[in-house]
Amino acid sequence: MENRVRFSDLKFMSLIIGAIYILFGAIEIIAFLLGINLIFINKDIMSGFTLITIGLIFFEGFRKLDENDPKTLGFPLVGSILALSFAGLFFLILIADAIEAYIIMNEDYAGWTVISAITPEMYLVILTIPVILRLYKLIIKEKILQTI
Amino acid sequence: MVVALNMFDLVRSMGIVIDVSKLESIFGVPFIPTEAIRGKGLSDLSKALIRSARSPSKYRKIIDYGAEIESAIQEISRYLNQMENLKVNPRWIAIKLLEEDQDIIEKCRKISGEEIVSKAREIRNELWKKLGKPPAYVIAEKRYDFIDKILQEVIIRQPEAKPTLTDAIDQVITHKYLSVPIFITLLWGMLKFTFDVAAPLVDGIDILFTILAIYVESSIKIDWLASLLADGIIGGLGSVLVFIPNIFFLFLAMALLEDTGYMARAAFNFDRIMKKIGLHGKSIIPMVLGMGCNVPAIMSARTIESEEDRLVTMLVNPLIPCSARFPVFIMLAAIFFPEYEAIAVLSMYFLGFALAAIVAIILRKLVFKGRYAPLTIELPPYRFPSGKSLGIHMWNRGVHFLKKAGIIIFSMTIVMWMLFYLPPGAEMGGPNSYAGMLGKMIEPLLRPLGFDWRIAVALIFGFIAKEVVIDAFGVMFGGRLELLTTVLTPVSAYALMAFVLIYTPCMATLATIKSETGSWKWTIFTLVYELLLAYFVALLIVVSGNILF
Repeated sequence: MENRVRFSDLKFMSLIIGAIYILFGAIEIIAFLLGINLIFINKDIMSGFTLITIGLIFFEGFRKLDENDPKTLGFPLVGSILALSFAGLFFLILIADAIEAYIIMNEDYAGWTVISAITPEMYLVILTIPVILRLYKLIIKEKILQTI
Repeated sequence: MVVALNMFDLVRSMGIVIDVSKLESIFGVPFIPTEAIRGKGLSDLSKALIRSARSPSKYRKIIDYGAEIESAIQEISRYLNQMENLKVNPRWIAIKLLEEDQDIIEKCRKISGEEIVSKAREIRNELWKKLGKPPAYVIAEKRYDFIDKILQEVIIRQPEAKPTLTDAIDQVITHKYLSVPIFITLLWGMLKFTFDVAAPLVDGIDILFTILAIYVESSIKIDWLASLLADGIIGGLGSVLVFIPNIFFLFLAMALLEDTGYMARAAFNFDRIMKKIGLHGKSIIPMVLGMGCNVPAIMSARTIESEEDRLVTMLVNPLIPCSARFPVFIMLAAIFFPEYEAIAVLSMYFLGFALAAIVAIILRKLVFKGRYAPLTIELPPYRFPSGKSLGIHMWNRGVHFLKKAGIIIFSMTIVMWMLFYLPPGAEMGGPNSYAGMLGKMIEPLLRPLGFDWRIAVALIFGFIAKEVVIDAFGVMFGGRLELLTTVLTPVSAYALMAFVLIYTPCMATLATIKSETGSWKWTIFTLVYELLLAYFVALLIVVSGNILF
């Protein structure tokens, strides 16, 4: 019962984050299929698939956190790790593209701008910060799981 | 003998206290706690090793397997002691023979013929009757009993069992429905890292070699020497070095997934699916990596322990359409199937994966019959990898690629240069160059597919790297690729797409197969079967296409 109370905020956050990631993933896939250009949205089917996968992990977390089992913290945890990893990856790609455009002067990157390289993976990750802080408190401070 | 108690940090973090000196007194050998990833305890380990080498500990029996098994062990040991040059402890071999260890049975058969193997079989069967179950089971039970007894003696403190972070993460990573999308997502991320993040380095190296080639070509007045140096040697070296950032980045990403403990889970998740097509659970990694580049994909098959499984994985890998073939598909699809471009390209991916599965099944049925290795894999706890360990993994594998594949690619590039630029005065890749002559020579073979000598030359160019097929067409058609419609029909263009997908792997892939299998036999086998398969599939497309359309 105690755990149920403690996880309720994570449950709520997982639902919101899951829904937003799935929504953005679906938009990316639709943009890819219809060939629509949208600002701050990738026109990439695999990027859309990635966002949906992260969203589904959070969604499954929303469902499982009801089970009152500390192991279910794995869902918001893995969702956040993936969200952070892909945000980092797209940030590295932005730097690589900037080098191509401004230092190497690759003609394929003519007209490239920083704005064109900003993707949902990079800004949606902000949503996971409260989850990460909550997990930090539960796992590191309250030692609800053995950290090995 | 010295035992390293590695990952001792995990034991401490779990709150477990082990009486190491008690362990030493039970086994009679030194036990040294280590944390290899951080280099802790390594100096104690080396000191213990030196001490042990100077005064080796004497062999002593640790586990008592019970009167019946012990008597069988002694009986087999008596026969083994009669063998000449036996350097391994006979008791150990006797136990392995009772356990029906196939490796040891084969080795005994090679050393002393069938006699000792059949004697051991007789004793084992006799023992089976006495015990009422296979001796291997009883031996395993005795070992586990022994382990339990030791644990009770040496573990001083064991905290109350609590779910671990690893348990929590595994709820997601090995989830029935989420495990596959997570895998696809991670591999896509890995490919993005390998190609997009490494792109400036790749382009930088490419530019450097292009400038160097232009400089050398303009500085040397003797045409053939300038061409040999610029197009052959510098071009050849460039074609190898331009791969390096991708290779190193891919290996870095793979090391990250391996060191965190993810890769073991991926193999576990896919084992059942892969087995159905004659592959191993771990084969999933090279299969998907092959969509990026077959070279690192084939190298990644090293994680598969069984040689047969590793070979099948490597031999079918070139059928997975790599990123170099993608532009060729796009180019042909855009010219011949403008309205169905995406479907035409996607069909090549389906064809590639389907053929890889079919060939794997055939190889399993005809060549590697019934040699499935079960997936025995340790699911280690998830760990945050150290930069040093990632660096070492990346460096060792990358340097291996440079040494092995690089030398072969480099020398083959010079041979190619000679084919395309000689005899002196011939137009590069033109009808009078050796490559052109070769194209003319093999044209009759390709005629049934609707390909003329120019297609043949482009396909020869494609042997260096598949994307070069487009460059070759560009040179031969003066940059006007739409002129391909004058030499190909839509049906033969689709057959050409399939041919490019399947026919001989590129030079780098072949060189990697050679270096990874260590065998010319399998390298030539891959070359030949893919050529024949490509011809057969393309012919099938042409014949059925001509009937239907």
